[in-house]
Amino acid sequence: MKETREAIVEVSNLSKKYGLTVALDGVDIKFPQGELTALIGPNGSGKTTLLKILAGLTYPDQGRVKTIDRAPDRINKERFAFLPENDYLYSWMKLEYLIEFFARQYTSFDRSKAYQMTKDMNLKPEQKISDLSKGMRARFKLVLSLSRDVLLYILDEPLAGIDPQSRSYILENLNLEFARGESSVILSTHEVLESEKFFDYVIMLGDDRVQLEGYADDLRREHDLSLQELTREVFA
Amino acid sequence: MALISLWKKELREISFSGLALLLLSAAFYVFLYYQARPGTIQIILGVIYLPFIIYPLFLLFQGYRTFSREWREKTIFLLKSLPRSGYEIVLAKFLAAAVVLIILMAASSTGIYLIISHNFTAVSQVLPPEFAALNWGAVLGWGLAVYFWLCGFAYFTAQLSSLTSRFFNRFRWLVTLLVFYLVNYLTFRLAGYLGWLFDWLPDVQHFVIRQTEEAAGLIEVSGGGLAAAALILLIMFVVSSLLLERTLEV
Repeated sequence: MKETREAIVEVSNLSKKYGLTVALDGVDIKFPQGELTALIGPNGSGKTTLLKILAGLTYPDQGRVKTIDRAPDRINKERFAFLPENDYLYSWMKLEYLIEFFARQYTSFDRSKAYQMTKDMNLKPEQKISDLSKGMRARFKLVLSLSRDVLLYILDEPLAGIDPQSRSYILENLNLEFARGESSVILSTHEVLESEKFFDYVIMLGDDRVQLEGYADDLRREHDLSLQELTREVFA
Repeated sequence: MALISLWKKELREISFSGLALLLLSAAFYVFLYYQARPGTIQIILGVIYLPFIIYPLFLLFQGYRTFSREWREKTIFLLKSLPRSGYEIVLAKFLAAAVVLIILMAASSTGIYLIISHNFTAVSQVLPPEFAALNWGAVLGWGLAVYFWLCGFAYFTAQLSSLTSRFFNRFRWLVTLLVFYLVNYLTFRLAGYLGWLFDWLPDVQHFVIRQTEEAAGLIEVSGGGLAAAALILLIMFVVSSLLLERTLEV
């Protein structure tokens, strides 16, 4: 069994309610450093809420969060990259405008890497966001996140609603970029089948709490199931 | 650099509506310019400042819209992910609106100047003779200061109302209107107390409006009143910034 590495993100006794709806209920998680951690769970399991709390966009009702050793405050936002599930880019902006905008906002942003990745992902810098398809927008969102040289990448459903071709393209790029450094990735997804080969650590979130967690290889070995099958079993 | 980049983005966002208003104002002044003649000059002088009533409403609208649009279009995710403080974001938005307001005012003032100078004889016949003795520098200076404060007040009140309504999932319009009413009420109550609190401040200046008569037309600007007015805008700015940075969720 693989030894758990030091945590890059620590969450303890985290609770969050939206009105009467409980999104997270006393959740304790340690996300290991230097690993690609998959956050898996059905719709409404609290994945997006958890990631938004880690990124400092939503605040917990109770509990503590330490993202890279401190609260996810304004200063800390320079040290991690967050990719939300939504289309959060200004539709009137051109890709090159957004690259320049990000370069001015984040000291960790690598402009030349962004242009190179834009080219690699078959996108043109002079295109407008409103002219891109959903798959192209998802690719560009990933470009903006991965062009930052940070310790942690928090990616919320980067594969949702994207055609299989774009999905595999994104996963390959993500794996390629991740393999280059010592960074950690937290990725929430429903697409377990396609992406499970990339996962190092897996956290299954359901009914507002952690149902199962561990290293991907250990979980496969212990349960003698693929992660896809294990997901089905846990959330049946 | 980061703040300038944010400000440019905001300026770009507001530019379409600003340009539309600028064109409308220009069309209005062109119309007045060609209609101005001795028989119509009194009506022209009566309506010549109409755009200056519209501009605070424009600022009010921008103050409301600036964040509600970010939430509606989900771009608030981007804004809140930036390593920028709430102050920087609110300031960038306000400075963009202020620049558009200055451009609109400059264009309108040019229009007014052209119309009046082109019909100077007719204008001087219908205006009271005391107008010639006015200290126009003082009148325009204080007029502009009050006007800017009013526009800033309209902008920040609407912005604060709009931000407060984000705490609610339903009836946001109603909440916005209620908060808008309450903020206005509380502000004027607060202004009274602040004015009293800063009463010890010396009056800033006495402007003689009529240069020919010593005692007449004095403008006495209370130091306490000025401090209260400035503080109220500052309080609204700080509250909006704190709400955005520390309390409001996306």
